[in-house]
Amino acid sequence: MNVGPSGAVTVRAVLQDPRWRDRLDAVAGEAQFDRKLASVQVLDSLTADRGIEPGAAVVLITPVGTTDWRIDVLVRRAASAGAAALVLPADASGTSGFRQLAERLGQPVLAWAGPPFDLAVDLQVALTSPETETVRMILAAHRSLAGEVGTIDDVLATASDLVGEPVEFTPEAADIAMPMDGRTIIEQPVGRGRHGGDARVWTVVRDPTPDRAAAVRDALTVVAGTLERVLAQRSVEVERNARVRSSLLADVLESGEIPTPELRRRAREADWPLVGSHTGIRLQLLRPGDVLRMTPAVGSALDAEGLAPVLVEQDEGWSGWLTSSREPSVGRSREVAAALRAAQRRLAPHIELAVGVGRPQTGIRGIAASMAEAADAARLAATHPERGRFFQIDQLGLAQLLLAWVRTESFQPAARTMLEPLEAGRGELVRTLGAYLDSGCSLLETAAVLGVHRNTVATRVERIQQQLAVDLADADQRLALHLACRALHVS
Amino acid sequence: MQLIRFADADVVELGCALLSSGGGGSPRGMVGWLRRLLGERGAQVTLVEPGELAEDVVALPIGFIGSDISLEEMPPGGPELPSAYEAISRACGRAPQALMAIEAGGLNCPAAIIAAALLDLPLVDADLVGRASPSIDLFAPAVGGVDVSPIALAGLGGRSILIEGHDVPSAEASARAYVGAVGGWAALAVAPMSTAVIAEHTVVGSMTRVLELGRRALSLHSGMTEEEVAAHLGGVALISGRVSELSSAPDGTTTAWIPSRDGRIATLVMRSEYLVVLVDGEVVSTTPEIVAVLDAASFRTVPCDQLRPGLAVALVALPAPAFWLRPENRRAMAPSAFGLAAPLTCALARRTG
Repeated sequence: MNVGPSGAVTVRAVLQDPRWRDRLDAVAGEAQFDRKLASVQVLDSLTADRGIEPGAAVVLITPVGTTDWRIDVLVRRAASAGAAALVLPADASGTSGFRQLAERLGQPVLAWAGPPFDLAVDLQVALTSPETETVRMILAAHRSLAGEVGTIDDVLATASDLVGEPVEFTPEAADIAMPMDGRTIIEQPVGRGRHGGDARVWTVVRDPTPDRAAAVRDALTVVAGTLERVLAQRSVEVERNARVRSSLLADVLESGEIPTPELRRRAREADWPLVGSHTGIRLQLLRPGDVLRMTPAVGSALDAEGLAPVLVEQDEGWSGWLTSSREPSVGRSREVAAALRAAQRRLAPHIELAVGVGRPQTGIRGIAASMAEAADAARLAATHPERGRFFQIDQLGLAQLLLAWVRTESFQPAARTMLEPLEAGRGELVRTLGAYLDSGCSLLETAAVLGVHRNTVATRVERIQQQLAVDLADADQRLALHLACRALHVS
Repeated sequence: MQLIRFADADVVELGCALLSSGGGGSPRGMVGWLRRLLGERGAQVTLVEPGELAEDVVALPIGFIGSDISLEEMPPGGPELPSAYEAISRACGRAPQALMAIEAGGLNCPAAIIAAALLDLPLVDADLVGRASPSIDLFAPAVGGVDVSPIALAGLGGRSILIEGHDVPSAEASARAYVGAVGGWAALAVAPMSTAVIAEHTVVGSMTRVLELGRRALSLHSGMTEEEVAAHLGGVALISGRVSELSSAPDGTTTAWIPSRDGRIATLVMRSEYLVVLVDGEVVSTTPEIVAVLDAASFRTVPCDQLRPGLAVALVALPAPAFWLRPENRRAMAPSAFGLAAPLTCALARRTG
């Protein structure tokens, strides 16, 4: 970074400053452009007797012919005195004669194309009252960003004009490119929302003086505040509009691995995080109801437990996700589960929900995957009141999910057909088969569970095999019968 | 007393060129005429010291005014110098018994010798500037308040006019007007001077200096370094290099930048003569000190109007005529008199303390 030591304005910084750089040109002595300005001196003639001070920016305010040999003398005087820079009116930059001398003596010479006195005054102000620039920029920022500001792009455009460099916004941590040589990144965090402080507004400034860097930082603070306002407004609009949410959710779920810039922008405006570790959530109404009307209550209950997931009305319930920057620890997962259960209990008398929670997964594809798991989990949860109609997928849960699948309506008819031959009697054959298979084919244990004699069990098993024409010694047949029993098991 | 003969023509040419500080007009044509006069007729001119003159003798400063290009394109026929002499003689009621050069530098040096040869009169070892000068008001007597009128001018063919009773600036203006009207040059003679005036208000010893410098210049050879050349000529080397840029300004000055091999950069400022030399932006030599710009290969003098980018040159400072360093005369030939805001600086005085 080419910022001079604190409090120092270098010749290079002056050349790069957006206030002057369009009208200021380097003429000679570039190797010495890191010299620091200590004062500003105005010369109203080439032969002015006034002594030149070390570190002065000497500004010649009278027009001068390009071939004037007295420029050579002035260059020498400036070099001997250790002036930081000699500034000549732009029309003096033509001839190469004195330029050679300036290079030889290592004397920075600049050409100024603006009104002669202006640069001297501005430099003087910059040197003696550097905070003036800061104040000016902040006031300008407040003025232009205080009222109605439109979209994020409008805010960034206004900010760019203010700062004199392009100002960018990124909602996620990974986006800012590494700084290049001689350039400084100045950034401010934007809002909290669901992003947890990773969103930032930033700009790249070339060789700023410390005061300019401070001024830009302060201006960006104002910009950040405005962006938070815009985002909050937008977020409210999106929340109010269920259709917008639905269509955005559909696009998110259908997205490829890398979301389009358009999708990222819409998600940013809706305050939906796409980057990070996502935990899918499904809230399923037990009885049909007016989902849209219930949404605020559901939101409040979650908020009361410290949860702010993305939630979209879908089918008879709500689907969404919670994002954290890193995969949650086991402890954190348990906390989230507990909070969801608490929210579920809060809503219980009026809104009865089955809640499913998916496994944490990363990226936009992870959102879809985790939400699908949450949906399956919610279906499973709906059939288990003894578990509080709450199910969180973990490793073990996968097995139960599989089993839950066999209890779906598509499987049950097949199971019924398979066991139909055992229908006779009061269903004691079906019960016996189920208990026999659950015990792992132990006659003794089955007898104990059913409360009958071991021989009774043996007889019944023999009869089951005959009536179903199966061989219970065969593992596959055993498995199929076991699943069928489970499918018909009344919860 | 010495004699100036045909053999001295080369010496005169080299010497007056060195003293000219880049101005004074190219002496080549005039020296050619001098050679013909001295050679064909076997003539010789007597050079006398002012102290050798009898008390009642008056010497007439005589030469040419105008551009050397016009003199070369339309050379004098012969009667012009004598005509100017006669015009003054008539105006003053007496014929001056001796002649004097107006400028020791440039073509007016051989011109005075020519006049002496044509009029068969002795030449006084003195001139009015000690170098070359652009105008009458910078002549030594004018600076000293001595009346330089009447002034006689004779154009091609010899018709003459007399300018009387003018102050110096208007005399100069009238002279220039006449010169313009008659083709760009004219023979010029100003008021004759008594021995007393000569002693006080001229640069004594100029002709001897020309001859001495010329002899020294003849003995220069190509193996010498710039420092040796300068010392041989009685001066000091300022800088050597190749002219990189030449630029003319609206105020009539021309500036040349000459970077040297050792990295220093010289700035040379001139009007009709070399007036100010800066090295690395610092003034090292100014008028009345004489700046000789020598071709680096031949050591021939390069006048102002022949300086061009790419030329390899050596700058040598030769001692200023002591006349112009006297306190009462300093300002007359200082850079400020030529509109240049530089302090009068002598490289030689600095070197010798």
